[in-house]
Amino acid sequence: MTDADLLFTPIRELAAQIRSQQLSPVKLTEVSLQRLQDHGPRLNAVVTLAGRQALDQAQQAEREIASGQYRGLLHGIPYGAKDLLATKSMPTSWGAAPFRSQQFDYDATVIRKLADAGAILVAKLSMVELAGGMGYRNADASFNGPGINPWDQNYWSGGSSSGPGSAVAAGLVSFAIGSETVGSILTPSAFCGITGLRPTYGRVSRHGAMALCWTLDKLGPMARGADDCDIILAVIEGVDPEDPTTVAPPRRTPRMRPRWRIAVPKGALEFVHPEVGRNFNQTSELLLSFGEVAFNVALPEFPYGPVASTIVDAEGASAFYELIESGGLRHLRAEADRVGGYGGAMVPAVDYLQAQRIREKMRRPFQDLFQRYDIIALPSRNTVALPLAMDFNQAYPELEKERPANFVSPIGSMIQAGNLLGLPALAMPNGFGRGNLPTGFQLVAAPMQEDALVALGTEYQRRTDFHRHRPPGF
Amino acid sequence: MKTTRRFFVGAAGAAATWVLGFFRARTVLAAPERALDAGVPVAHPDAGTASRAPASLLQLARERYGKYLDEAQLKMLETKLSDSEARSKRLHAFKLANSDEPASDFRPVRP
Repeated sequence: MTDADLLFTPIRELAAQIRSQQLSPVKLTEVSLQRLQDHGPRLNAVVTLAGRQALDQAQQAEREIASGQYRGLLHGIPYGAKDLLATKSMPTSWGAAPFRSQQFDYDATVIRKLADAGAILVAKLSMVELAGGMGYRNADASFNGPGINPWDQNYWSGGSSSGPGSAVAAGLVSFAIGSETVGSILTPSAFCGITGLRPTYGRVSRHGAMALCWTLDKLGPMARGADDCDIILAVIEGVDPEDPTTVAPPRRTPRMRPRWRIAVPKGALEFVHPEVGRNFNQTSELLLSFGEVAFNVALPEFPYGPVASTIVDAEGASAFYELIESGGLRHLRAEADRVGGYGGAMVPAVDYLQAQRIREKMRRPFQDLFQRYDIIALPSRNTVALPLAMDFNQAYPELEKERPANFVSPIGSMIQAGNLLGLPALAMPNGFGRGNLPTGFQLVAAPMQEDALVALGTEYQRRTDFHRHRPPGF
Repeated sequence: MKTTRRFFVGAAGAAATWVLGFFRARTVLAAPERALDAGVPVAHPDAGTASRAPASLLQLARERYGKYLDEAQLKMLETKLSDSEARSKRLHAFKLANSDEPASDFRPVRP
């Protein structure tokens, strides 16, 4: 096994080697730091390297394990955190120039929980400025440059968790913590060919995470496989007095059911890249072996896009009111971000409340849907990763051209609905599309049903090897 | 404040000039409205919907934020506000009952 192989190894295997002292946490951390140093800059993946502090933690882990004080599966495992999580030992930039030297005097709850579990923070990873809340329209929207996709460096890694996506895909860290408001874990996971878990809203504390939208923000693991995500979730979940929206998770028992009931939304393969459709069809064939798959299931009809964007605009403008009113947006990188916040600040209160009232109405139809189905399955994104050099809406003009003006993509709708309703989702790679860029699919479940996602995802990954593929040169 | 005839004529002229500028901006910059998805923006059914923000809202935006923006950015903001107006119409076209309360989680006592 080469040094690079170590960081493409599933956490459970690494943990077994660490526990039996066949693998040194110091060695693993050194490899991670070296790879972050060697490859991080060309992917624009790293904001701050932990360096000495990470090595000190690794040495401590090694001593503890040698003396029989093994803390669990993450003990001695190096990870990166999206740079919106407060850390007292490193700056927290929120991906934005006005905050690049921002220093907190406390650790986010997630950071603290991972430290308690013995995981080693090796880097703060890049992100789209202010998590994309100001309305960016192309990849060049981080103060340290666009997130670059390790599969092809002319393509974007996705956002807003761009650094976690590329760092995990390139094997610079064993796993990362990302965040999602409306798509920011699922998208980079899909574009970079990794596995990302968006937990149920409230399952993971947001304390110490940059607020974009209090009612939508979630933190979750981005890693090699579904089992890795489950291991990480078990550490970071739980009630936190510092975050009143947290709830106690149910007892954890991820296991396969004898017969899954899976729904594929109607129109899920319309106006997608042909390879996205082809790969999802192959995925569906495999899902059929797990139970019943109902195709063409209609999603409840709601104006998901307007509801989500109204809430993001209004809550984002409130969260960044001072920056907006002081004219600080002019220091942001993306042209659209220098303007978008002003529009957000002018969303009428009645529009925001209307959006929240419609959001509440979505709850019952989805409860009914999840009475009939255990899981909703569909592609993670309509296309492979988007090119760096153009605005998103120019990236694949053939899809834009063919799509009727009134077509609502169930892929976009499901990302919006899933976030509005706080539903957990698991994004996994399922093949390759144009330019040998990864394609992916998402599984969505009822609130607190992460165990179902992990069980099904782990079984899918036991029967496929897409999550084991590595970008060329890494 | 007393509104004089001179003030009214001046204000009307300024508004007319501004509205013309706005329509020119729409001609050049009009882009399909896009629903936010912090991952990637995606088109939604309002794409291409012609709508414009009330002149008073645009005036307010200029007054509040004009000092931070150049002309091209002001035009972008006008487009954004027009998109928000189209979005607002869609939101309020969704029928709700008087008793439909928003999703909110205020609790007088924290657990």
